[in-house]
Amino acid sequence: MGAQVNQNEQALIEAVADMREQEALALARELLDGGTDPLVVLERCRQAMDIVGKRFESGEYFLPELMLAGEMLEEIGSIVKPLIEEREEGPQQTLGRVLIGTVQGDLHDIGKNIVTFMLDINGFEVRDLGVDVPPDVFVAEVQEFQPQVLGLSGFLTLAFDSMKQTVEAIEQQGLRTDLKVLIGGGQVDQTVCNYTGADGWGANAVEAVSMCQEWTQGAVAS
Amino acid sequence: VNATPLKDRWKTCVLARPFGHAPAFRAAELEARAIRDREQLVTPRWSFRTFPQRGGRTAAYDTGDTTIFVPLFAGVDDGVTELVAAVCTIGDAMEQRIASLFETHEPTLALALDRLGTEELYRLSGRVLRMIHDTAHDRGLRAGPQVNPGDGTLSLERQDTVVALAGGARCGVSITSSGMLRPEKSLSFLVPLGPELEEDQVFGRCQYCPAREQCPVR
Repeated sequence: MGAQVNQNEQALIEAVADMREQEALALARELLDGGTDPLVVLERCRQAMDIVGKRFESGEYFLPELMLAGEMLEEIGSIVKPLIEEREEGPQQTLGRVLIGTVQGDLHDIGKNIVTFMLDINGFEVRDLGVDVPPDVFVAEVQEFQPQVLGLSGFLTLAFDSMKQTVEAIEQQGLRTDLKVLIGGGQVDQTVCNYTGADGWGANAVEAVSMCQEWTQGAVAS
Repeated sequence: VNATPLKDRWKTCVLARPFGHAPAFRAAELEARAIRDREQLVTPRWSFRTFPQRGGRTAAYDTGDTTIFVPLFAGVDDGVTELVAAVCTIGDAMEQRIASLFETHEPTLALALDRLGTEELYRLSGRVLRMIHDTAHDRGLRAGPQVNPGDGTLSLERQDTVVALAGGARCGVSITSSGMLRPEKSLSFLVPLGPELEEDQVFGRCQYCPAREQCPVR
């Protein structure tokens, strides 16, 4: 599916990657109307997102570009996915379940919301618990939602203690075995990751999505 | 864990870089401004109060009920005679609208509105600082560099003291147990005053920002 890219498909990839929103949507519709496999259209969009992600990591693009590309992917996905489900007689499988929230004592939510959106459009089932979430609420939600990944967000340095307490509460309940803990926030780094006992940390939404993809490979949720 | 050094803090400021060059970004910025005006999302409120320095040559300020220590002022302490505590906010309507845009999967517009809210807040803090300068000038005083709780020179743990001194309750600003201001688009700061202080000519909290010359707020 990824090897042979025809001219129109390449144009779609470039339109998404170069932020030409209207052109990208028109090209996607054109491809579908012309009989292109919906899965191929979706794959080309994901290829474009890879380019956007690389430009983001290199500093050429910033968050607005990442979000706009995500919106384009979501909009094209809303056209493509019903066609795929119709053909496969059922909803698509998700890549995995992610439970996410800003830890107790912190109210910052922009970063969390961005990661939630990016995980969602990349095929994860995401449950967002909001901000100022106490450890016992995370524990209860892990038991109920059974995610593969728990995302803890926090911008304040004071949030690091809340992250640590949340991870400890999860462990005390014996819920850590099949659960990866990902932390993120403006000042999070490897030192904070070690301190909190998390499995990994992401400096931005692209890294967060990559890490979730890596962790959930082979553990697809229905 | 160390906080981000002050010289690097500009990297986290959404205003230090362009929002985007594609037509979609310009459209989002225009739409954000239209939403701000149509839904009246900005309600600027502020409060500041002045306290005399007591105890001679020290960076500790006795405000009557409490004493506040401000390390940054130590270097210019000889000339400081008064301390101004200030707080300002644009209200909570903007942050609620931003959250609703994320919920409806409109993150580009949400980011544009968030950026606009930050611009509004920084402009407001700049206006409040000008008022403080003007008031000081009328009394033959000059204003030194502004200090924000959590900016490295003044611990975030002092946020509650600064907000209380400034009279935060009068303009609807409160503080969480972890030192965050509510509404989120709020700022608190301290300004030293004295007859011989070297005045900071850059208004607002961005005086150390390397990108300030290009900043849309200035």
